[in-house]
Amino acid sequence: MWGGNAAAPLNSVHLGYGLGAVFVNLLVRPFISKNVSPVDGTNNQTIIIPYSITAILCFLIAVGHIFFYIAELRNRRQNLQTQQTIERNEIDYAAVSTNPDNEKEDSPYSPRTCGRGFFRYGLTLSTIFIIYAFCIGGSSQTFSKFFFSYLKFEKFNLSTETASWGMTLYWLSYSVCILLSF
Amino acid sequence: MNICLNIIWFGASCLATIWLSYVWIIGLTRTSLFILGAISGLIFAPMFPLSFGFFNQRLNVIPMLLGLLLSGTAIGAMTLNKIAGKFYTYNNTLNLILFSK
Repeated sequence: MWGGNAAAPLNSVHLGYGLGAVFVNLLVRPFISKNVSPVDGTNNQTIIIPYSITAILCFLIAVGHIFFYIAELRNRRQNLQTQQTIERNEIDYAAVSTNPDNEKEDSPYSPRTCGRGFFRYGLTLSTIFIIYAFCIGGSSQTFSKFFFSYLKFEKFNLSTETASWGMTLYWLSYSVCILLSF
Repeated sequence: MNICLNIIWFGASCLATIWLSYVWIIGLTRTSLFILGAISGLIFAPMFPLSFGFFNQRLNVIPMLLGLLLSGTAIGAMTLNKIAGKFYTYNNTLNLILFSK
């Protein structure tokens, strides 16, 4: 969609991810610190509030996406109509074209297309990169999810609030690093 | 970009070594946990954008390949989370096997 300028929007998406994780930690903290004795489960009711806020935000984002999607569909329809009217008024030169470039195109699903014409190169590198993505994605996700549980181990004697600060610090440094890489 | 990626890979391997040595040999304190957590954030953050830039340099990233890469990431997250969860719930052995001095 953005071609060569895709780095900045992609980076901002990642920045949003990090910042969201920081803010959601700050949002949840007052609600979890109130649950001093949630043994019977009744005090856990307060945790519903931050979840509801997040759900409302997600809903608003979904509505925003639908809005932009509908706007894009309308644009496309208008463009198609204008193109059709232009084509009616012009002679179709494509019918007499002798350019053979379009005759043989690689499948959009073939490793040959990824490898810029080289099948084995495309296949090998794609496989290595997918395994690499598996490891990187897995380790970063698992670390961010289990770091909180690890901070809560008995031997460190950390309260939930302090552990939550630890998570906030992790996401804050994550966001700062992305901000620096712009 | 290649220099940045090299720095990140080198930093990540150093970080892994420091984590392991702190967990197994030195022993973690509150401060070291927080500092190492923050450094982990610094290392993990640019990994994805840089890696995808690297993929783009080497290959023609068509939508199909992008889908496969993203699903590889998601499957990795699912699998490793599941493994960590299994260790965690199985008699709390995560504590004993992975993270104890």
